[in-house]
Amino acid sequence: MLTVPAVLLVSVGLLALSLPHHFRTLNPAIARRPDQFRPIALGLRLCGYTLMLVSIALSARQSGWALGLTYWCGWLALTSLLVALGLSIRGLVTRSQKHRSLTR
Amino acid sequence: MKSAFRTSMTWLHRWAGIVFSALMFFIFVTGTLGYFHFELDRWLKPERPLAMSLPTTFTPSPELSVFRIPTDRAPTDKGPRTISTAELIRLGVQRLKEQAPDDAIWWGIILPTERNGNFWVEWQPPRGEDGQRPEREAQYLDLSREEPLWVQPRQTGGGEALYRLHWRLHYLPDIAAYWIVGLCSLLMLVGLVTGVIIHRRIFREFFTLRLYRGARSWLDFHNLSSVLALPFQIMIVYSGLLFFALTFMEPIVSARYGDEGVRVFQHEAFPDDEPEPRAGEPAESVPILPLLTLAQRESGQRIVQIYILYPGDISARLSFYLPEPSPAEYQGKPHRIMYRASTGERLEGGTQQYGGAASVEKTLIALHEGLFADWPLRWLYILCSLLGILMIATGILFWLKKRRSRDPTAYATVERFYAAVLVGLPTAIALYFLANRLLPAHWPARADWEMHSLFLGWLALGLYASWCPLHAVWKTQLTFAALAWGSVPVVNALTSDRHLGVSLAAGDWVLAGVDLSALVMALSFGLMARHGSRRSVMATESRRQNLEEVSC
Amino acid sequence: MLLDVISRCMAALLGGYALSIAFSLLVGVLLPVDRAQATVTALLLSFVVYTGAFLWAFGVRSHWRAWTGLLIPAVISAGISFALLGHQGGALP
Repeated sequence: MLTVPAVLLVSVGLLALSLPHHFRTLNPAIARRPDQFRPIALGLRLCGYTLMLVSIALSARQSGWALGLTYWCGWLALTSLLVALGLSIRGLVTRSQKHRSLTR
Repeated sequence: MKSAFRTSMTWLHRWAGIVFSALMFFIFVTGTLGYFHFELDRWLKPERPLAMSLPTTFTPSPELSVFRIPTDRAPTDKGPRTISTAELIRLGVQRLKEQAPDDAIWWGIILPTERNGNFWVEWQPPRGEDGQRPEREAQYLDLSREEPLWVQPRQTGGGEALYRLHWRLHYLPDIAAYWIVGLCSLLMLVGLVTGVIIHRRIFREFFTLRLYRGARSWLDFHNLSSVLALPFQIMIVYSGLLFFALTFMEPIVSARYGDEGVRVFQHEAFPDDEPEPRAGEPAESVPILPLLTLAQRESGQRIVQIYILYPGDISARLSFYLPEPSPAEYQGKPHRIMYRASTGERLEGGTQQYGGAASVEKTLIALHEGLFADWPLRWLYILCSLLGILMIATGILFWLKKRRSRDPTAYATVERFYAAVLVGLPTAIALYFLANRLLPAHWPARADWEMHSLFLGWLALGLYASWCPLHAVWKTQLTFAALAWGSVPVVNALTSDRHLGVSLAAGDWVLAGVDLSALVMALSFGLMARHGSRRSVMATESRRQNLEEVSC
Repeated sequence: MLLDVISRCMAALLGGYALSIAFSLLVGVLLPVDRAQATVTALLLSFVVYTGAFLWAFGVRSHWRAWTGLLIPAVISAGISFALLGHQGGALP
């Protein structure tokens, strides 16, 4: 039941990390150097898209093509929302601290 | 560097979006409620009994498929009470014979489902002297007492009236409403397509959310919410337009069909089983239950609704309806199994045999309505709709904020207007729920006044927004919204016995879900109101700029 | 400037409407399917054409081009489809 969203969550997470902007959270040094980062990003995207295809196939196997794809679109919205919110929590915390010091 | 084409597409996106933005917001909000209109309907008719638990396994025999009866009293030592499908149908038919007029056009027997929870009968009274078709009548079976009791719920538009706003608006003739909503949907589609053209780097928008950056944050929210549910948004707007295809694109039909007109077209493209006309010769119906067993054995699914057309006539037609099929299964899948009621002879038809284009159209319509969706998918539909609402709201706020940063005072009226739309509408909907509980239960005009209280309440909120000081306009609207939604479960508890204490105890999650959702709404609006008190929705940037200037 | 915008709006709304009907009708007439399916296809297509017409009306350089670009194909498609329809006795099988 929850395998499709779980696989999608990992897939979307990997795709998000393939952006230097988000990879910075893991390793700022590498994210800043394009020559080192590019192969990593490529690998992350490859894994991400592969897992995405896997999740489509899984969803189609579970509920048939039509219903499976409908479900998949819904799960995609949910998982990428979770990833986007998860990635901005750091920004939220630091920003609100800054903001507080600014308004104080 | 932007090309000239993309600059003009940005312009088109902005204005196509903003011209109908308030109406788009209205349509999206009421449409989102529509995905729960059966569930809301139960809450809005508190006379309806608590939900029955469905049979856990499927069996074709109606004697053996058993529903568990909920109770809002202390459990007796007899153990859980149950009732079979067969017994329900016997009670239903008996009630219809007693209550429905002899010349009723049809009878309906509705078995409990996960969504509607209850057993009820309904019938369509014949056209009156004036040729008007009266509303259908319904009576619900309450089994929580010793004796079965038939209840007629209060006069209310219920969930359906709320849902109808989605395409029918209110206070307008049908045709005018269709053209307005259709045009609005068309501009929405233009907005979506231009939005995709503007944002070439759509992949990046997937994960970019920069908070606390004034207008930039609204734009990020706008992009994120659009991109996340883009397949849904395009599907919903395009399929929404198809509902108006015959209104909008009537010339296409008349070019092909000439004087034969739309009816012939519909008959050819979407063939439906034409019923035999009423013969006028009375005839007894064969017993329903053996036929039901046959139909359930044939389809391998539980029949959810039984309709009898021209009951008591020799040409009466008995239809057993199956659950709504999923989008792929429209082609050739039976959605009902039909018999001639007077003889028990199996009638042909009941399958949806459409041609290629017509089945594409039907699939899109099915996707739009989402009737086939089970609970997880239904909530995903809600999530995508909420993202759509967020997309419209943040689009408006971004536009407004950009303009305000150029000239802080000129757009005050516009800002007040949008505060009353974006926050006022949800509040007004809460007022509809409150009016449903507070208006006198047997007042004949109460269904109308429920709707009037929605719109009058909205008007009042608008007037208040235009009068109150600008810096407090968002905060007060948000506070009103939190108060209104927070009072929904409270008023429910004070005025009905279908409140959280009862519904949670009985495990009736659909009913409890409405109250709990109201609480979640209240909490969200409350948080936003508190948040807004620190930084007004619009004023962040200028205040921070002021601070920076001061510190310089 | 204002006149230009009004003219483009009108071109999109009216010209686009004409084009979406005429062009979808033509596609329906040319398709080798029965008239019911052809009509449904045309209805499905018409809103796509209408949306495209909006993009055209606001994307091209001058509002004159917006009008001509929409109306000329509309008139041509309407002409062809009515000629074909009339040729076959008003209604295809």
